[in-house]
Amino acid sequence: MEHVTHEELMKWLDDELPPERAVALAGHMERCTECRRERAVFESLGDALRGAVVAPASGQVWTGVHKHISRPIGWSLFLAGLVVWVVYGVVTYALSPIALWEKLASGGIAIGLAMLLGSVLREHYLSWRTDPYRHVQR
Amino acid sequence: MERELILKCRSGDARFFEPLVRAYEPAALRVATGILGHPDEARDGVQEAFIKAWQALPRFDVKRRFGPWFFQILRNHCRDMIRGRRSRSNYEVADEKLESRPSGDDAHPERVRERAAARDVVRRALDTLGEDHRDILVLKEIQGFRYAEIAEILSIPEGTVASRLYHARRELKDALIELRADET
Repeated sequence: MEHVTHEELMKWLDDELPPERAVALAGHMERCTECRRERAVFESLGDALRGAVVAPASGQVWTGVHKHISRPIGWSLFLAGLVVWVVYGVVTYALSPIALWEKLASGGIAIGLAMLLGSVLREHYLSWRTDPYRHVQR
Repeated sequence: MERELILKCRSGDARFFEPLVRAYEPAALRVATGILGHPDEARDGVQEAFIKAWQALPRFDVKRRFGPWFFQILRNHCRDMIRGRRSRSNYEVADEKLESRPSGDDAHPERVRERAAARDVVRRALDTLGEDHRDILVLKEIQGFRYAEIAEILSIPEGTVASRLYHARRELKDALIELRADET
């Protein structure tokens, strides 16, 4: 065997060659100092890379993933139920034989409370959005 | 088995996603750490990639294997994270708690420092490579994917993998030589 291409050298190094070609290449490696040297360099590079990248311990990702993917279903159900009850309550109250001024007063209180709650939630959301440490605590 | 889990996930039951997350998490963390360089960022990246995968499951072709498809998402997400922070921060020197606990001669402070410095040089060398070369080295050397899997993840012909790996390894070797020369 006279010449080994770069691609073949890589495939031999990574155990990707068909068996018969791998045997032929192994024979060439025994004779060719240049190829042996190149192989040794690439093998030591691989070892160095594997030693340099230290991954964090596994087992903690699912909790965060589950929190994200299950939350929308819970919130959707909650909000859908809430909307049904609020609409039902408003319609029932509006159609009841209560005096108009009582309806207006109760409506004012309900709308005022809803606006207060909305502004508090908005403030919380804005401060959360601008908090640089919001990702720190898991 | 995997296909059945995916079909059940598509019906919206998140419980069936857990075995997939647990099965791919260790490899995903290795790949993400290799690309991003920082273990904490890698954990965030993997978590977000799994969430993206969950959201994209309705569009997933169940005839494909989940692994390469997920690693495609992970690799793209890690690239987006790097672009998001504009300049890639240098690899941190391994955190003390992540160090393997050496014993005997290896526990000598001088040896520990030498090993940490050697690792740091390799990380910085990897950091200097172009995205394509860095990614293929991470997929092959850190995770040990086969060429067919790498081709699928990177969306390149299988025949291109060997030549790209050769050039990536050469570039890494040159970068290491240059960094070591700078240090001496």
